[in-house]
Amino acid sequence: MLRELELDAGRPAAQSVEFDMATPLVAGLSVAAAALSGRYMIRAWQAFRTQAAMPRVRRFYPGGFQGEMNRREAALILGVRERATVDKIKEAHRRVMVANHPDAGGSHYVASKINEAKDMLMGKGKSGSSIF
Amino acid sequence: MAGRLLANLIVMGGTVVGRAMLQAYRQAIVNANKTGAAQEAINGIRRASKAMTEQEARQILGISENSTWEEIVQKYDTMFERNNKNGSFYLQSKVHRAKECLEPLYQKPDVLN
Repeated sequence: MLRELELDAGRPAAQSVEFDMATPLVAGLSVAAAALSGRYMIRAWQAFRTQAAMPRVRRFYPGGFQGEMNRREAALILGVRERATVDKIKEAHRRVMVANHPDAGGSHYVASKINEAKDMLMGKGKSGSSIF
Repeated sequence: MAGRLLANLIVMGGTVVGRAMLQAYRQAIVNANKTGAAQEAINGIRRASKAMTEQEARQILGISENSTWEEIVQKYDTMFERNNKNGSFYLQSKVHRAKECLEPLYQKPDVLN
């Protein structure tokens, strides 16, 4: 009877000891996994921000103005569509001319280009001497 | 009988599609000539080999041959910023290219110094 009691008392103690030894290892692994995951997330976020900024860098148009201006370049100079309405063309011309006025830090050459662009878009080209 | 009819339909369909494509191609050429895209492409090829000239660069920035590099940079910053806010991207590009064109001429003395 005494021997049986001793054995029964010993088993629960052994089990509890094993359980206590296993818990710290699992906890440690969990913490490590969480840390690695967080690090990966941070790097992914930084990469996303970096890539998002790249498309904003637009490439400048190469070379200088064309020898003879055409409708396409006129639209680009004023920043409007080729088929924009007269009101939009006038508004854009005023805005761009204010930004490039020779009396306010601009240059006469660019100002003449802007005026030429407006005339071309409004149908007042060199050959266009119609009444309307 | 059915096979022959089907063949006729296929031939007629092909003819119609071919004719439509030909018309579309011709119309595209006409549009390119009107809007100047074709001419711009040709100019682009020619101008790609020839960059902006020094004279045009000076005209764009509104400076003379006696201007110093500091004046050029100040003028460039002013025009670039104003076009960035109220101007157009195309003019901003031209201002940038003008400075690029003049930079080698003025950087040589600095290198020598």
